[in-house]
Amino acid sequence: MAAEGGPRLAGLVLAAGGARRFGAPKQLALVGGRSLVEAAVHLALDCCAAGVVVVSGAHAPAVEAAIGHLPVAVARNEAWREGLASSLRRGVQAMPAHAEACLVLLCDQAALTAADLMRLVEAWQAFPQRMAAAGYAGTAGVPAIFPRAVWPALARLRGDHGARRLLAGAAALTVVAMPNAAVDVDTPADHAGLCRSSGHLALPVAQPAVYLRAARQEAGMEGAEGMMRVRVEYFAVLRECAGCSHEEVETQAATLRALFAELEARHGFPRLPSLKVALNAEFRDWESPLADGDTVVFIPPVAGG
Amino acid sequence: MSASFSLSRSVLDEALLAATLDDESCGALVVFQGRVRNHNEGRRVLRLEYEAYEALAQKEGDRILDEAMARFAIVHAGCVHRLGLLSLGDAAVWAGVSAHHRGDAFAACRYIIDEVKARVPIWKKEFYADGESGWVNCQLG
Repeated sequence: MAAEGGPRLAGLVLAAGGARRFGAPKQLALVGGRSLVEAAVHLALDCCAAGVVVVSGAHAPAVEAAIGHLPVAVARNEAWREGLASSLRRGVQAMPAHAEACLVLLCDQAALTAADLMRLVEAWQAFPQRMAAAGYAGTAGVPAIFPRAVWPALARLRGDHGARRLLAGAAALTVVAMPNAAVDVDTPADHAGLCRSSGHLALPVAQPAVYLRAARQEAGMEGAEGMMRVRVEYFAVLRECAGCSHEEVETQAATLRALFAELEARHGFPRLPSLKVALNAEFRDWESPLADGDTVVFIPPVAGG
Repeated sequence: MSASFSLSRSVLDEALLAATLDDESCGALVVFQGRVRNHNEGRRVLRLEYEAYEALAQKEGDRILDEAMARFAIVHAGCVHRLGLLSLGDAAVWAGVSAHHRGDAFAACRYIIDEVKARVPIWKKEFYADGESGWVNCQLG
C-alpha cells in the first residue's frame, strides 16, 4: 500500500493542539490500544510515499515520545497557541523537497480508515493540480490534499482557521464523500462514545506517566526516582508481537494503563477489540496502581472452547 | 457436592470424567464436549493450539464452577480444558453436571461452558490449510 499515493505525496499530521475541551493531551488518548496521533500517522504512512511530517506543539514531548518508533519527521510548532493555521505553516516549511502535494490529517478524526484515504488519493490523482478534500457535514474539509502550488496560500492562513477557508475559495476542487470524517473526538465523552461504538475498551484519556516522564526529560529532571521493576508476561498474539513470553521492565508508570501505553509503543502491539489486564494473577481495573515487584499480564480476547 | 476445574495437556478420558459425577441421588447427567472442527469462518482448519495463563485460568475456572453450584440446583460439576496441540475431532473442552433433575443440569452445563469460553484466559491458534495461522478473536480490528 505504501506507494499508493505515488512518490509525490507527503503526509502532514497536525498534532499540536492544546485540546482545551478535552482537558488532557487528546493526541495521546487511546482507541483500541493505539493513541490517536499514532493512528493518524499510520494512516498517513500507508498512503504517503514521499514521507510524513508530524507537527507537535502542546504536550510536544509526550506526543513526540508516542510516535518515536515511527519513521516520520517531527516539526515542533512553538506558536501552536495561535491555532491551526500556525501548524499548517510549520508543516509546509518542513515538507520534503521532492513532495508535490501534501495530505493534511488531523489526529481527532478517529473514525477515518485507510480505505477513506485511498479514495481521496485516487480522486486527487485524476486531477493532481487541484486540491482534493473530504466532503462531510455539508462542506469540504480535511483530510485534504494540497498540491505544492497552493502551499504558499496555506502558509498565509492565520489564527484558528484551518484549510477550510482555502478549500471554500478554490476555483476547482475535487470532493470525495467521507462520512467518517465527520466523527471527531473533542471531549472525553466523544472519546468514550467512539471506544464504545467501535467495540474498543475506553483506554486512557491521557497517559499520565508517559506524559510526566517526557516532561521531566525535557526539564532535565529525569532520574531514578520512582523507578520500579516489574515482570510482564505475554501470551498468544501479544507474546508473538513482543517476541518473548516475559520481560523485566524498568518503569515509572503509575498505573497499568500507563504501563501498557509504554509497552505498546515499544512493541507495536496490534489493535485488539478488547483487552483486559491482570495484576499478580487477578483481573484488575486499568487504573490500578503499579508497584515494584508486580507481575502484569495483558489479556487479549480469550478464545477457549 | 463437588466442583472441579482443570487444565490438561493430555487426551481427555470421558468415561473417567463422567464417573466423577456419579451420584445415586441424581436423575440427570448432562455432558458437553467441545471438539476441534475442520473449518472456521470459511477457512479450512487443520489443527489447533491452546495456550493459557494458567495461574489465572485456574482461578477463573474455579470461580465459574462455584457460581454454577450456587446458581443451580445441581450436585456435581466439572470442567476440563485442553492445552497444547490438538487434532481434528479431539475434545478441546469437557463440561459435565449431575443433578436431581434435568432442567438445572442442562442450564448449569450451558452456563459453565459459556462462561469458560468468555472469561477464562485461554487462547486458540488455528492452523489453516493454506499454511497460514492466526489467534482466534485477535485479528486486527
